Amino acid sequence: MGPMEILWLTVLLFFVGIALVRGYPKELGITTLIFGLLFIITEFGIVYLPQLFDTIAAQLNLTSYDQRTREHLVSITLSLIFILVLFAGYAGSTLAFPGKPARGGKGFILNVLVGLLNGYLIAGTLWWLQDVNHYPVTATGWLTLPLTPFAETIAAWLPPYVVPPVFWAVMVVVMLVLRVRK
Amino acid sequence: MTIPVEVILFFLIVLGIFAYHGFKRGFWAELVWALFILGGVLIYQPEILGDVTIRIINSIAFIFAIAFSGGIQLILSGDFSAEKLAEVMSAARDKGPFIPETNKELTLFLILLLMIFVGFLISNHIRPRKMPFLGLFVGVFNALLLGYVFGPIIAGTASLLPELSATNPVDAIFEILGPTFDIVLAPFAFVINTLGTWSIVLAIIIIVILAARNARGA
Repeated sequence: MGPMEILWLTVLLFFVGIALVRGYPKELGITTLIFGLLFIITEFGIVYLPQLFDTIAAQLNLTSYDQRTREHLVSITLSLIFILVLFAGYAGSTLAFPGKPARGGKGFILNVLVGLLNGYLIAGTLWWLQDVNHYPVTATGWLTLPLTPFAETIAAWLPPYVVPPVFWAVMVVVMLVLRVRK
Repeated sequence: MTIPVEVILFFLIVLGIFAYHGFKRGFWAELVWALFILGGVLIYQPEILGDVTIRIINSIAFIFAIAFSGGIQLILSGDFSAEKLAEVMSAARDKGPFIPETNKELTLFLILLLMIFVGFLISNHIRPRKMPFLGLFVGVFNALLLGYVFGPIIAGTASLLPELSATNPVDAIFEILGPTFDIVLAPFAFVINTLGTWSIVLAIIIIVILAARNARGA
């Protein structure tokens, strides 16, 4: 395994651990937040943010601004927004589902499943932001391309690649309905 | 390797029975049984723990052989001369190993059966209905292990167990679980092959609805 998939797997397991500690009702609030963020990023962010940077660069007459710079800026900005909003989500409890986790093995399994889902969505989105922007992270030297075949397989299954943006919006509505029904 | 549909169905039915059994007996009982079965499987493999086990049994038997070949008389008489000791050792050695090479495989198989049986009896004494859902999963795991052991016998193939290339217990466990997981994962593989990336959408919806409906005391 190469560094990218190891990092992805580590983040995934990290969120499984968080879910085991916090319990899945709280984690479902984060899931709702991720769905909303994914919709905004995939539907608007990745489309309009590059245009915004282009406009700003043109207004400021930046000569060193090129496509690679734009990819760096887009990936960093969207990743930071994604992480900061998630951080705020974990700090608060507005969207958390009411109730406590089920007891015993059932609760454990649901914690793991929701942790895996959140981990997949978070780690997958961050990886996707690198992938669509042609891996700006390589400039830091932390990652060398090409990806391993295993990483290529995972990369084809990252959340924004396998699900259309509108699904995330629908899921936000579904989550809010499920929360209110509780 | 293509697995016939009827084999997959048979395995899934067996897995279902073991899953139900695990659900009824609970997690700890199933885990204890799983450890006994796993121990038995590793002992049955000569390269992993089998040869060591046979050596231990033969060594213990050799001590008894020394005792009954004049060793006890030697201790009682207090005559520990080199000649006497060599005589007793030689007499014990002449009896040959307790488990000869020709009986090794049969002995290991009997130990495996004993481990499965004793493990089941011991685990039956553990209080049931503790963590039933985890018990369900360990029950499936036990079915995989037992399927690995007895599957080839039921299928009528020559050897009792498939040959393992692993030479340490950890690799052996992965080698055992590999083909059995292929069968268990067959339905998931079918879903992924049929639905493609939409299987992710399906998984997300199922997890979210399952979790949302199972929050207590809301």
